[in-house]
Amino acid sequence: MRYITKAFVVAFLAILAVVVGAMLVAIQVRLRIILGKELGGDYLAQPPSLFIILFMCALVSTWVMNTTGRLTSRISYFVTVIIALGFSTVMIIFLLPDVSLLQLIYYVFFGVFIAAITILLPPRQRDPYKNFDLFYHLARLWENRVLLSLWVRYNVRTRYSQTFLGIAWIILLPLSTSSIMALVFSQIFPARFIGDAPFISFFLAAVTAWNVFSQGILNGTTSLTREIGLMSQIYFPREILVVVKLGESLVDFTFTFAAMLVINAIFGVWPNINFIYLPIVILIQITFTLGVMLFVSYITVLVRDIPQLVAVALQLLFYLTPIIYSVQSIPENLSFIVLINPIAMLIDAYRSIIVYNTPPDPINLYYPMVMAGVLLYTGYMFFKAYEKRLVDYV
Amino acid sequence: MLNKPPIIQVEHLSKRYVRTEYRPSLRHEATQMVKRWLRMTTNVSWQSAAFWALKDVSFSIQQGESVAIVGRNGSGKTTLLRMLSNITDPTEGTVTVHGRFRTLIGLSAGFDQQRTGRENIYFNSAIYGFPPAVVDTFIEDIIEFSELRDFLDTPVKRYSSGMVSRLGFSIAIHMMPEIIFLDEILSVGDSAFQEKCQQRVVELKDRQCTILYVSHSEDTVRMLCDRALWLHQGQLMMDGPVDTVLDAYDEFTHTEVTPT
Repeated sequence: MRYITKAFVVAFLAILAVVVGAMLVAIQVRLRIILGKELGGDYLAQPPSLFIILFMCALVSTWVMNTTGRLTSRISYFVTVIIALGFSTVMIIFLLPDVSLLQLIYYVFFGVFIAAITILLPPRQRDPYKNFDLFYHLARLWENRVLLSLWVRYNVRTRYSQTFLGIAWIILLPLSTSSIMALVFSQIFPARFIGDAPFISFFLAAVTAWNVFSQGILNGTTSLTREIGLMSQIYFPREILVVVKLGESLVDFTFTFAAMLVINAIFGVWPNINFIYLPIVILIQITFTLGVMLFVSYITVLVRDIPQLVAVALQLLFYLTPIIYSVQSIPENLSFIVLINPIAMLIDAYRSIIVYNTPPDPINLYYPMVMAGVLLYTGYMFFKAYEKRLVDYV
Repeated sequence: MLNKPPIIQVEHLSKRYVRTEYRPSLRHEATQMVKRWLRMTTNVSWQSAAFWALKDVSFSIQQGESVAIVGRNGSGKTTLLRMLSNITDPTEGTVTVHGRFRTLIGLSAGFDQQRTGRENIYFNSAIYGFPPAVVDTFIEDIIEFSELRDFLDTPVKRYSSGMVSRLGFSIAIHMMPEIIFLDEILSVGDSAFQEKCQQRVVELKDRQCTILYVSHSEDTVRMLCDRALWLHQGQLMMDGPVDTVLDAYDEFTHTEVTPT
């Protein structure tokens, strides 16, 4: 029992996260991409016993490596994951013959890939105690929550500081743009209905969610370069600058969301019980956006072209995400492209909750969720390892 | 006194900067990288362009000492302060500071021109770790000290530079922990305000705060500090009582000035 140390629990949870994440992605890939469907559709995708096996294998693998004292370097963690993957694959083949072999192949592939990205790739931190400890950094962020909320509040306030209408713009602007769009799409262009919802609701739900992502990232690119002066004078965790930008775009989201609800009500689309699932989807999106912002904001300090490149990339991504069209209308041979895009199904989840009054299909959210976690983790590790050098790049 | 471990310990500290003008463009850098990889060239241009802002600096400071850091411009004083404040990492060597510290590199750090004076008070305090709830207990003192009561709700961009410094100093002086790093901050404002500031800083010294003061102004240095470190082009030339070091520094600068 003396082996159950905090280090062991943390290691086990990390290995478990990688293993389960790989399996979730494998499930979504197999069930949603054409390739898998051809190889027999009646295979069981996710029996509960599958996850029990994963849990046991991760536990045994971590236990063995820990008690033999080999859980030291990063390579050893990687090896632990490989052992867990192999062991669980073998057990699943024997104990659950109904699980598709293709899914297991995807599982091993994604497992190795995710483990390589999250374990081998992140740079070494200067302070060994903070190595790979995402929760330590999130706790630091939580400690700074007063500063964060103050900063966001002040930034939003100063945006409208010398305007006549002042802070009222924060709701007036989304309300007016949404109203104009509603007018155009219902009167000038014939009202097209997709499913049983008017086009404007269909579009607004997706574009509101998209704006959190795109505005957040665009503002995030310059968040560090603008405050180099501040960074070279005071010590504070640098990611606060990035999180503040995310906070600002969330504030905008709140008011745009309210405006959207008003417009939707006019067209007969009311809030429903499925809004309970919204926080989960929002959380996944915040995680994903923050992960991307951490990378992009840092690289912008080195290569000042990045904001322009990001703007172009986001334009492209806008059309690769089912915002102005529905997922069903994508031709079969192109569906692969949309499914590679992690936010595609996330935006669609928003739409199915708000407009179509159906709970989002969890399988569609596995890949975005795992991708968001991986991005946030690696983004944070990368950012924290090199954050002190930011001041040296001026 | 000597039995206690030093509150600040710096050992063999070095900091190298790469001059960025020797990296003309990303394209050039990328092609150089490929060439180096193919062993076509041994030209590592950035290494020759590096310069050492600090080279092998070591010293230790006991609690309660007030130490001045003097030197020409570009001798590495601000770099040293940055490394002590955890703003940047050293290339070689170690820095250890035991306890809470506060760095004042310039008085208007964190001031946003668009915000009002009052908002900047709250923001500046928050970024140094004092939430608004705590600041409210002594905000009256801050306003009183800065003599800016009538201007608190106008954006800082309308303040004169003296007003900005006064605001910055009043915020700072009310939230001083045990270790303070000051970079050229006592030379702002009119003489009346300077006197108030000096008085406050001397109070801090009496309270056994450890003060590290970077300055060019001899008078304040002699008045405030007991010990001085003289940095020249990144190296520690002298470390001793303030009068000795300042006399040597004076002699050095005056003999250097003679044109050849």
